[in-house]
Amino acid sequence: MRVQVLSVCPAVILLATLTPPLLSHAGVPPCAAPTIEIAFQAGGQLQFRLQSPCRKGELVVGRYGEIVIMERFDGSGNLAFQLDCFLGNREIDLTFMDNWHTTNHACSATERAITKVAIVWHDRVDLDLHAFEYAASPGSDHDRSAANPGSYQTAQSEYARSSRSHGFMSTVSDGQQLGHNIEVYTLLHHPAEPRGLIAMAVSLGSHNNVAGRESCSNGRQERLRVDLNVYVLEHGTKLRSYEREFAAQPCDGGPTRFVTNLVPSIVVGNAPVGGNANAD
Amino acid sequence: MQTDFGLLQTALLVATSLAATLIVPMMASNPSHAQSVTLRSSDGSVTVSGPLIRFDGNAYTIKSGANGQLSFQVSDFSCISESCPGPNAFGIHGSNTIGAELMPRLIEAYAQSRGERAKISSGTSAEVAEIKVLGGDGKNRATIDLQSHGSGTAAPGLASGRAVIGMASRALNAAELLQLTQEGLGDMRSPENEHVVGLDGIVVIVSPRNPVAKLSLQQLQAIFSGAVSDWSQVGGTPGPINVYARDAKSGTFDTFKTLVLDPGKQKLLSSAQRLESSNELSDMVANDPNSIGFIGFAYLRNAKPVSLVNECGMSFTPSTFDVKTEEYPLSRRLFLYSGKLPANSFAAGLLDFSMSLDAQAIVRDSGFIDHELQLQSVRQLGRIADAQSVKQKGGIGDPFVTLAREIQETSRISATMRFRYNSIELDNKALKDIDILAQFLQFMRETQSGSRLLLVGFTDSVGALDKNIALSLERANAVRLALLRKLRNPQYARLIETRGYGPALAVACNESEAGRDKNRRVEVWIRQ
Repeated sequence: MRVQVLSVCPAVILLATLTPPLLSHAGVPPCAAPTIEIAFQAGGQLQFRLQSPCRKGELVVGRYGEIVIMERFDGSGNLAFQLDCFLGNREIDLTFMDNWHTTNHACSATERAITKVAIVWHDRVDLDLHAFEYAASPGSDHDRSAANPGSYQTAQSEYARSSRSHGFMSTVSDGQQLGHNIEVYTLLHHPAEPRGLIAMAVSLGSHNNVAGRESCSNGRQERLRVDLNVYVLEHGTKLRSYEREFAAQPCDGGPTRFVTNLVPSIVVGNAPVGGNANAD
Repeated sequence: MQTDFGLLQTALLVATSLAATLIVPMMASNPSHAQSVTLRSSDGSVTVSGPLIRFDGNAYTIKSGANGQLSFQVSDFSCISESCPGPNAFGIHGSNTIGAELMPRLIEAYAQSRGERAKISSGTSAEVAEIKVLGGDGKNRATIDLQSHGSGTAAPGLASGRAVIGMASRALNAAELLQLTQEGLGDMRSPENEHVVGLDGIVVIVSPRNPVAKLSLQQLQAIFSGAVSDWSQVGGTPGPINVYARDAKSGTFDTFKTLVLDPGKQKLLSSAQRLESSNELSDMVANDPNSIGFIGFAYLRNAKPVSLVNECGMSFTPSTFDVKTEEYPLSRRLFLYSGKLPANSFAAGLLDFSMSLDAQAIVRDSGFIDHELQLQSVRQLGRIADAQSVKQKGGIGDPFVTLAREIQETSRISATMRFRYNSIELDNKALKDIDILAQFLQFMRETQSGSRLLLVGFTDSVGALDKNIALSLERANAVRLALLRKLRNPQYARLIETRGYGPALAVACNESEAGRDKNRRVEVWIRQ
């Protein structure tokens, strides 16, 4: 199966292809501006709460850098969603169906003590980002993924208990978003973190250790391929991005359902090798 | 179209005879892995079809009959069938150490330097990836088949034409060199074909939960051959030793075998768990407190490195400086090999970029050791004591007197020159170091630092002392000459002095060939 992807998704194209018929505002009194509350959350996220009784059921299109987020008001005109600041300090723009828009909501919640790794894709496929903290085995407590996301609180308590950096899945997706699908792993850096490595991998959203029919290729049909972008925001400041293509692994692969060469690992602490204690 | 008439005529003659006699057999003997292609001469008079067994950007080589092959230059023949290789579709095969992370990063950075972008697609296993390089217009500029199954697959990949760049974490061996020469790829040891992209040290690793911090080479030999099978025999907590090693195609394994097992004529324990992936091996060792394994510097991940003690008691903690000087007992070079590549091809550009200063930052970021110069002064003072633990033949009392004085006045630079076997001809890494040292000298002169370089030659301990001192000075002078040739300015001559200290300041044991090889060198010291 090959899914065609729009690498950059202008909202107009998405609206044309993905939404039910839109409400027309012709002949009705103009809708008042929504009330918007934004709260900073620990772990580099923003919590949006919107209220607009005249926009019941309508879509809101958010743009954060090149990322498009689409959310819908409920039947009472309320909408709440979280935005993970994995691109760092960029503006967030919200556009409503009557073309009213608001901008300048800076995503400045990221801190130097945080590293974020994100995968972003558009196909309606359930991809899982995995973070294997310190050589954790698949399915173990420290294999962080949509199936075992942890939280800011669990990461903090592990961080306090072990004096090592730990993280959590700050955003997960089932692959059914109208805008981009996003999964984000957020690492909280311990100030005295010892050397270590958190290996990252991508798999299809089968929460078992063994590849199932839906998560692998048996050679009878073309391998499932999904375009994705990878973002790494190191210590809240330095952003790197990569263009990748996920291809499902062969069914006989067993644990190889984890694709390990698409997302860079996170190296923490100072390396005892590769450095040189004797050098000036 | 202008063509070399003689060449074309020869090709046409061959092709004309082929057209009559060989097309059908060629088609019949089409091997399953080779795509059949059709080539047409530039004047359209000759058409040749057959299984394509190699395309290196310069020529198409197609299979002829049972064992033969014929080459057609791209300047004279065009490939006209749908199965023709793209102009920039090529393979990079070989070392997992290089191919797992470093090579994809080099490709990405090179694409970026051209205003293009690389898109990596996961392959059928962690060792396989397809990388597409896309221009700003979204059009494909190059497609790279990256296969990292081990250094042992580099030469077969080059020989078959499935790869135009081979990656190896050890030098190609005699059989591989012969095979590639016979395939018409030339002398792979020449500076045009052999490129040292970076340096690495093999690190012996255990779990962070294992208290063992230091092992001698003899202990390693005993553990990896199975003669020692319990941690209590080497000072650890009692328990069986679980041995992990890379697979037989791995250059990491070859280097370890050569430096650790072969000197004792030992073989790897048959029950050792063998793995193709360095990442996987490192993680398995990190998770098993009874395990031991070995990997390249960049794959330490969550495992614990062990310090090594060589045959004469010198202790080495894996460090950048000791790998740069190649004095760490398990240090090695990371090679890229290629035949002659078309001048403007993506592969040729990638190879040039990989050897550039820009690429050195990527080598370093990938966890390997780059070629950049590093200064060391603190440990310089302790070197005489270190060297005295090495048995010397013939007495070295006198050289030490002068040496001791100069050592106190200088710092050491990591560039350490070595030579082709039994000669004063600089090897390919030394040639690279000459380029970097020349830049350093230019910087010294421009900044009027007042510093001078001392090129200090050393030998192993075989032979008479006076002859070794003369030989070491001759080697230092050879390096000086190479530097001055590079700089093309006689004013630099006053900034470079030479010394020859024979077998003094040994950095390895003279009992083994590998140790003697490390001791035959020219060091670079700087007097501030």
